Amino acid sequence: MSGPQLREPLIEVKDLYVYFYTYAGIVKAIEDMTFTIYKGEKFCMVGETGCGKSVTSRALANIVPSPGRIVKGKVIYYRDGNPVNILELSEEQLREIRGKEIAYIVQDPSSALDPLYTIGYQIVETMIDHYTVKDWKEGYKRAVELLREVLMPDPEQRIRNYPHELSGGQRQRAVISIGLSNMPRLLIADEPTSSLDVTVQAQLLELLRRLVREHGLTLFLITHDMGVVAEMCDRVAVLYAGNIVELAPVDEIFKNPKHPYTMGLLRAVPNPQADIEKLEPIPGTIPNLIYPPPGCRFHPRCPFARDACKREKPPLVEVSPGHYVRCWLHAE
Amino acid sequence: MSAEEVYEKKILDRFSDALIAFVVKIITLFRKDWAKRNKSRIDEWRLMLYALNRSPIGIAGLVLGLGFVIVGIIGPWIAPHSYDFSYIMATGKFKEYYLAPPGTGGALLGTDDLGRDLLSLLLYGARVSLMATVLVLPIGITIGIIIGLIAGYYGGAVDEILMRLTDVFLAFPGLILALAFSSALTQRIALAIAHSQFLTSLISSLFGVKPVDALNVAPILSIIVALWIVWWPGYARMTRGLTLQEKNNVYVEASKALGLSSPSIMFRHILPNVLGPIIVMMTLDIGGVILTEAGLSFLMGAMVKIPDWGAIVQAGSQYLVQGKWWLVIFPGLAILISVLGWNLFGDSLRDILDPRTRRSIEFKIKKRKKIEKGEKQ
Amino acid sequence: MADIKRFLARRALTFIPTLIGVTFLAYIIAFAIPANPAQAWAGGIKANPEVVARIIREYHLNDPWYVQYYYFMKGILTNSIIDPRWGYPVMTYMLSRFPITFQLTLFALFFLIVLGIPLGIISALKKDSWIDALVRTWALVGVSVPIFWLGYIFIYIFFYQLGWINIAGIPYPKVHITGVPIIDALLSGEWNIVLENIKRFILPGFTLGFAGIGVIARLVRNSFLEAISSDYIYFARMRGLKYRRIMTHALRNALVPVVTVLGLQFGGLLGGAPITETVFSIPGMGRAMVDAIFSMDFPLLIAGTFLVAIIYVITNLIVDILYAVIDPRVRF
Repeated sequence: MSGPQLREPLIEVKDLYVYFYTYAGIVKAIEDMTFTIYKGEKFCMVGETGCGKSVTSRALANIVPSPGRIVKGKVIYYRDGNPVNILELSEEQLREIRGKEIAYIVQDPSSALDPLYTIGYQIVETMIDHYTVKDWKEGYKRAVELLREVLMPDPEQRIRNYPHELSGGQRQRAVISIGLSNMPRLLIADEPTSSLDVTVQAQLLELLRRLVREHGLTLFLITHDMGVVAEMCDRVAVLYAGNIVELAPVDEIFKNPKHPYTMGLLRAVPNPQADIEKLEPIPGTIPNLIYPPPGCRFHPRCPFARDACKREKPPLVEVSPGHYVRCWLHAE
Repeated sequence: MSAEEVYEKKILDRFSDALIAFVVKIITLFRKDWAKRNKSRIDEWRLMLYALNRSPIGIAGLVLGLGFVIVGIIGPWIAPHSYDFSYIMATGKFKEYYLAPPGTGGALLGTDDLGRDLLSLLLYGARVSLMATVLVLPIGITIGIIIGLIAGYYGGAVDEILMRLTDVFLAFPGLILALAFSSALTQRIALAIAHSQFLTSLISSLFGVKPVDALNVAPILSIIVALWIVWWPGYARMTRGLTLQEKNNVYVEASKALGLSSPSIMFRHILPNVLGPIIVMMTLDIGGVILTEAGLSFLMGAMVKIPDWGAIVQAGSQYLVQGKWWLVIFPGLAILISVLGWNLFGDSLRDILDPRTRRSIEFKIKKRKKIEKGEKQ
Repeated sequence: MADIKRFLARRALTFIPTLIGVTFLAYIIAFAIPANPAQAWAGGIKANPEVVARIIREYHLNDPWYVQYYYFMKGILTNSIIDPRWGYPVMTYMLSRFPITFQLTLFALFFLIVLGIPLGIISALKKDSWIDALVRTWALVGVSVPIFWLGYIFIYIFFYQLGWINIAGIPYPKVHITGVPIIDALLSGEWNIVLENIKRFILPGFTLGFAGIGVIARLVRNSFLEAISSDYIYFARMRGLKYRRIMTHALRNALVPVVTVLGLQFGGLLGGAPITETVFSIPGMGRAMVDAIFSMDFPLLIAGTFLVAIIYVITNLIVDILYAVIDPRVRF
């Protein structure tokens, strides 16, 4: 594996802030988020539920769900080598990018598909609206190919089925083929398998890996499962309460975790790359992001918390090439 | 979250607190430790009332709706004149009183073609409308709830038969079915009243009419009976649906395991849990009953010989094309205001009880006392 | 398509018991009739006792209930219940009045659809605007207004004050095809008769539909809002579909519940017909039923009630089928 620094960046997130304006108050979902995804790599984001992984991924195509708003920051997308700031594009320009250049695979395929249309229709309309097929007839032909590629059984029949007529795994295959339909440059998979059975999960991850390899896609994978991270990724960012706390190549994370939260996370799940006797939960719960803890957001749960941690937020520093940590223990 | 949540109080809230304290006190008279065991329920009530206090539309509706009830109760007593025209005859000045426009001859809202004071007629009519509501809804709803509970709880063939029966009643547009039944029943009810001294005096005092006119209440009573027939199926269907959902809860299973009898499970355990939506529907139906009763008495028109809002409009309508608008406008306005009041109230009650809109309302009420820094467990 | 057939078969099976139940309930009304209408039909107190006796025999007024039900059913099925006042078969008489009521309901339904649905959509798209406030007020006030009162207000303004409309007679075209005046006039191209019919029915139709317009508009508003905040619309945006296509998805989903409610509203319109027809002196079925009450013509009243119920049951059947066509999930 060559050093990621040598590669060409595909998308750069700089100093991103996303807030949610709710009845209860302003939820500071994402703060001070900076990272880069390079062409052809498999980038992973891991963290607990509600830490801001999904929101970050939505921000990449400027489609943060209401009442969320991007308050600050830049998302630089290298479109054929030319950098454009996604956050400054018009709605129509964004539409042309979404689904064609940056495509999503969502977590819950059963609510993401329109129940009143056949899955064939929904695959084809995605291509029609981006002009990647010339008409509906060609579209349906292409849809059958796509479904065959994602190993959907009996694809000629399936394109005529409605979402409720398919199983959960088949629906997710349909959603994956929608994501692939326009051969995007960046494929964002948001917990693509977490709503499915374990056996189906394994099959789909294998499928996803093969597709990314065969089509040379860039993958941005979101998960809460360290096992999936180990299997699928080149580089990984660990998120805690809306901040990246650690970012490193995948081997580095498992062998040499620096942030106390990452260490806790690795002790809390079966670690495929290190032998740990006993699983330990991280004490405490994720903080309320309306009134986030001052200083380091992890300090109330951190066994190494010092005075500085309560007062001031640590910066993200590079401790070794390509390995970034946000912690006062490593900030010197 | 560890920061304590407190309520921001307004004047109406103190009123609500007093009301709840009063209700709790009354219940405590019958069941000693009820208040202690139902603390969360009482808090729930308080929150609901606070939410209502913050809904101007709901409060306006409640004021109008209660206004209808109060006017309905005291109407016949505060009416400046009687509802029959003997007092006009006594004056011997029928011509002056005939269809007098509003404001003339001491008649604030004008007079009708018999010279009677329209305001008095409307006040008497309010009682009739109120009695119709009071007599229709509790009985119609009780029948509906019982049938719905039984169908939902037992399921199977019982459910199938009861629901087919409900379907049959729902196959008729309500107003048409009620129209047919009420016209078919009028004579029988009139006969029953004529033969019973007790019914005569009961009806004349309930409807605020003279005992000689008790017989003339028969069309209204037949409308009421017809509305029982029309009103229960909706509640049966709704209760059944709610019971089906509720039946899956663990507590029903547990009650069965404890050996509680089916009626006890149905009425003491399931019923209280499905009552919320039923109450909302009932509030919205109060207006429906007022409106349907008025519509039917409008259609039966000349048959209704006691003051009733619908019948007054019918009688006055023939003078409308002569420009005598008040006999139509004022009774209709009385109906509109009463119905609108209950509908506004029911609508905001639905918002308050609906879990989807509930949270946003709660956030408006609650204010955090203080924000603890850096939340610790 | 196979599951549509199965659905239809099942729906037809529940249709039959309802139909039998309807005849039974209609019969119960007949049974509730006061002791001796025969005298009234024969000419009141001075009636010839022989005529009264003949009427009692002819209408089986003294027989036990099952005998009466038998003759009632037989009478309905063979159309041999004769109107005691005029000597027509009652069903024939009622059916001859039906086209007028049908035309009135058609006008009301027209307002429900062309006013209710667009108003609902606009108020959903411009939430919290004046049009949204109008729709919400209309929904509440509409169901609170006595329709006879509304009708008289319109008559007062448009007939008494302005003299724009006419409230007597029905303009019939020369040709008789369906029996519904406006449809026949349209078919035969008698444009002035079409215009006359519109002038005659526009206010009654609006009056009858007034409550329904508000109800439909609010329903469309709420279900459209629900649809556009759903996951599949969000995913459609993530796929970069065009705005118009997204709106089509939302609209189709929003209209699913509207179909059912339109069916229910149709019952409300039929129920409101007696009042509207009385107010605007339109000689339809409802008016005929009200007249029947005053002349104690119970066979006619029951025939009318029965006919309305049959029409309503059939409408509901059609609505259910329509529902299954729009929403593939129902077909199971």
